[in-house]
Amino acid sequence: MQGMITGQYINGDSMIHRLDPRTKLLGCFAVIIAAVWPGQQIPVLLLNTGFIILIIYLSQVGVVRVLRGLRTLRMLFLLTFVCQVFLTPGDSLWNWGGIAVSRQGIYLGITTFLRLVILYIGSSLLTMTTSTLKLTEGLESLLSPLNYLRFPVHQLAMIINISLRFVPTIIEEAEIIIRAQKSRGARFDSGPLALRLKTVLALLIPLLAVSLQRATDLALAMESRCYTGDQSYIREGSMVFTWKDGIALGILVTLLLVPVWVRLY
Amino acid sequence: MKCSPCPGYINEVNRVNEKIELLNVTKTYQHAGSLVYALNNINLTIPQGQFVGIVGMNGSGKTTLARLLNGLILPSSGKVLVNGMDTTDPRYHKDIRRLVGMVFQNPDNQIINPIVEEEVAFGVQNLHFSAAEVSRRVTWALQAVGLSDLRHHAPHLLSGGQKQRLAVAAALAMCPAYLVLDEPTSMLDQSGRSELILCLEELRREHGITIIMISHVMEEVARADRLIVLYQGNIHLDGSPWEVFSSPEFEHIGMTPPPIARLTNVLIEQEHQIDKRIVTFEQMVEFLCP
Amino acid sequence: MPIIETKDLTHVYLAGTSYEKKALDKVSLSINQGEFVGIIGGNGSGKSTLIQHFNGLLVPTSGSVRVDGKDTTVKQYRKNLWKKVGIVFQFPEQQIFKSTVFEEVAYGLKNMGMHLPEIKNRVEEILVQIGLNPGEVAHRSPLSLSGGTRRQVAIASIMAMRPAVLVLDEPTAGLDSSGSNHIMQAIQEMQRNYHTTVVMISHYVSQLMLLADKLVFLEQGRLLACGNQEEVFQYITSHNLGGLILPDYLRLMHHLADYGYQVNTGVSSLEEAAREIGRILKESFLCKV
Repeated sequence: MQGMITGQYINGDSMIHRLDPRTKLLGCFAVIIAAVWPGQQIPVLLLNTGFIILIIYLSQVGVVRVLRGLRTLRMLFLLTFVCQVFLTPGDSLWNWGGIAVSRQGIYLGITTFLRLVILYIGSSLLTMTTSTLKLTEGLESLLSPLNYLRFPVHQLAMIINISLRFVPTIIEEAEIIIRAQKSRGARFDSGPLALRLKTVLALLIPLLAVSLQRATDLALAMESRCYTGDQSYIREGSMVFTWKDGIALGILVTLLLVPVWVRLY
Repeated sequence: MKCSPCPGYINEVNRVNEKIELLNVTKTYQHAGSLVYALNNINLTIPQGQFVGIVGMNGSGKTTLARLLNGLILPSSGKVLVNGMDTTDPRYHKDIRRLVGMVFQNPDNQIINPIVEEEVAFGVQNLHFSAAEVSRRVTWALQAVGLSDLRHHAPHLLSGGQKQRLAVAAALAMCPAYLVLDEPTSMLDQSGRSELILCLEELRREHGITIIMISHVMEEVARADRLIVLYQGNIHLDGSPWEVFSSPEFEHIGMTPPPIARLTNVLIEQEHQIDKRIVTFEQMVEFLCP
Repeated sequence: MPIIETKDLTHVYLAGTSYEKKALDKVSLSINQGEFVGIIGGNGSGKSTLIQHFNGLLVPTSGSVRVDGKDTTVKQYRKNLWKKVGIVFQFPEQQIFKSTVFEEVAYGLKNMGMHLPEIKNRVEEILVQIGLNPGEVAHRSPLSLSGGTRRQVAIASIMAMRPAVLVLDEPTAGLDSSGSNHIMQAIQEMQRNYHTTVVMISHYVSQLMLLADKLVFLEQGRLLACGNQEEVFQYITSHNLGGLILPDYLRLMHHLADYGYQVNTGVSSLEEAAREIGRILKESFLCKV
């Protein structure tokens, strides 16, 4: 399981790596908006996809590696494409006794596929070029205005950080528990639904118990190292917004959102 | 970078009372309606520079004792003084926890950051040092435990022994005078254990850090300068490993000395010439193969 | 006919990807019914992968595994193999999820389709065997018990199924000597009463030395030695692998032999080792005189 998590940070020193994390977070946000904005044409989506792939190339994390990650989502792509093609009403191209395939359906199928691709490679780009610490730092900084509303931004950043730290560990522990329960005859993937739901408890309860113990232990460990609950992740001088960031953001916003604005008018 | 960035810091601390003292310490809990004595009127002084082993059956009060040492738990009565500072005084909490570093039993449940480097920096950052100082200490601590190569790794990819060394580094970066370890090897395999013990011995040798280790693996505590045996909340035995292992009281309470110590005992009984008090493998080899 | 037999068993994780890892490399061994087999080896030796082949959790990438004469690649056989080969993984107390000790120990029995009266008998019997008092603990929540007791409950839940082969991965890791003893005694009793075949992974080699008929030594996925203790220890020391695996007094014997002393390196207990050393001391003492 180790190393298999797609989108894991790849250590590097490209111009993309060196960008301020806040730029990259905002960029990812722009990508998401561009991906979900309704009514976009195929050429625009293809352009966006190409643009992101170009950035991936510039970041030297490996275009092939990212694209290969798309394979893990192939079931999702297939399912949504099929749904769009067969369930969209419109000018029908073929018709087999009730099941119609419309021109609009095919068009929608393709655009949905492209949107999903953009979402995936866009977020992969973020996580592969930004270490978890920088992500947390950037996020905390961007959310810091919420401090005025007494929103616990520091604690939120801590939660995100600890989750990132433990997700792989918990996945491993889940695999171990499943193994142990299977060795006592638990069946996770066959049998009546009611039984399978009960069997899921055999995984969830031990995981929960382990997590609660973990929380107690972590609190002690953090207290032992003088954590008092209000430390910030933002390190002095660690994030520097330079002119390069300004340009990057400018290009990004223009290219991804221009079609959106054009549509609006 | 063998030289520690710490000496400058330690000079700030009061040098006169460099020891941990437990004075008439009792710790009680409520359990099922009755009062349970986890620790009963303990008197103990641990001077700087010692390697102390603490052993005892489960439930003898070892973990309670460990957590009293850095103020995670406060005594029900009596006082715990770290370099003269009382653990019940909240003004001293930060200083005490700087001085007394703690490593826990479960390697995973004490690492909170997704990158090794950041984990080591965590404690130092909580002390509000400059970024440069933090970086210096992190580099030193990683080098002192032998994890410099893994600086940018994710902790979940480390082995058990490496995770525990990381926990030691995280405590080390705060420049402690004392390092308390609560059964640090019980979840490790053989190679992880010896990794950790060698690391601790080197820390003591090179940097003079007091090591206080709770363990139930006798071979490990045999290397200590001093061994304390807890039994039902009391200090039952306190002396050099040899004195403790060869005392009849030791086996009387259900504990077993390590094989080499037993070997030495048998040989002494058979009236062979064994001058030295041999309890570890290395000592025996040194004696038999001069 | 051996109860477990593997021929050139090879297991590769994530074959074909860049994360490919060969955990087992052409391992061939056979375990006879009623034997007590100890598996020893360092980190990454493949011990954990190997035992998962015994109850069908994993299938070989190549080679074969036969349990009780039947091949484990047969899906129907594999699905029910857990009843015949019971595995206790490391830190088994982490798999506890039922609200009473009784239900936890009975979990495997219920999955086997056993009826309640018989389940009751079995649970009571196994709790006594493992050193617990059924009257006291059966209705308590497992999470309210001490760590050592929880371990006993977890192991009891597998032993209750009375598998023909009992496989344990470091059953006494992290326990103090009294907890350790309870469990080892229960295992031995099970072997005596039901002629259970026992396969145990342990790095407390001294524990295995007293009980194991056969030792299997794995290193980096390969089976390097398989046989009785003396053969295996001889292999380990002659290849300088013994640093972490052999008990101290045995390491000592080999060290002394390397140094030039005439000692018997095949000692099987501390007392024998003491006798050998005593002899050396006497001789050197005499020489000094």
